[in-house]
Amino acid sequence: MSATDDVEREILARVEAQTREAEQRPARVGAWRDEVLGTRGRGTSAAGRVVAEVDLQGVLTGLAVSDVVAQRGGREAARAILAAVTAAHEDVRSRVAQSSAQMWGADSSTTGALNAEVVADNPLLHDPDDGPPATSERPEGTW
Amino acid sequence: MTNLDPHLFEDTPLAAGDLHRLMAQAKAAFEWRAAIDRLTGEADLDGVRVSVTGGGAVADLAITDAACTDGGEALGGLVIAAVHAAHEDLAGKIRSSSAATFGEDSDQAATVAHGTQQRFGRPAGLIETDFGDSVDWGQGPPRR
Repeated sequence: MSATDDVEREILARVEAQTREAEQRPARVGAWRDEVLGTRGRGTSAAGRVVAEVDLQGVLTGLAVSDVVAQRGGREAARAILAAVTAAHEDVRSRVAQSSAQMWGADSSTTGALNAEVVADNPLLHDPDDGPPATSERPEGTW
Repeated sequence: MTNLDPHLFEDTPLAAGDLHRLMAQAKAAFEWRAAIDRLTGEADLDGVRVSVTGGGAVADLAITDAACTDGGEALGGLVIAAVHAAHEDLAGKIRSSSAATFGEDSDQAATVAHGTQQRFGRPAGLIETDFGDSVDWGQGPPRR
């Protein structure tokens, strides 16, 4: 078998591999797109006593508040809920960034553009770590 | 919101090479999108006051003590209802803006109306969670 045959075989193998990859890529891209569109972010606060979920676009999709947090009054409850929502936004940003980096590469323009959209839709407007209050006295709760 | 000529988006056949009109349409659409991003939605419902960003994210929240008196699950329901009301407020503003910019009967306004319904049409749900034992945060108010 000549060296020319070896080179031809190698080229053919490479072309076949690239053809297979090109045929499979649309399905992989479609699966990735569906995964991203279905992204949900979950965030908690107050030692897990508030749970918030948001969708890819940062819209609230679920909420749970414990009786303990409600007992603390309106001001504390609002702070804890906002903290959980912010944590959920952080979760969405992180999931999409990781998924896009794996699919397209961390430095790709696709990843950059997608991350920019997700960041805009999932703003970090509040401190996600509200923690328990330092004082045991209940502050005024009404706005 | 804008002083755009809604006739810009009338469905009339374009003359060959009418690049200027296409570019004007694209510019108007980008300006409209930027204006939408600056909108907010507001609601004040049963002791819960909410504002949401132009994209629908919860931006601010204020809760009265009275809204907390029936416990966490009830409070969660009130917050969800208020957020949904804020989304409806936002969706109405977006639809009004698109009608004013693109024309009330335009394809663009119809697309925007469909998009806002998809994005904001369904309220959030209560997450079923077993919170287990209470956490000692100190003295809380007596339950009324």
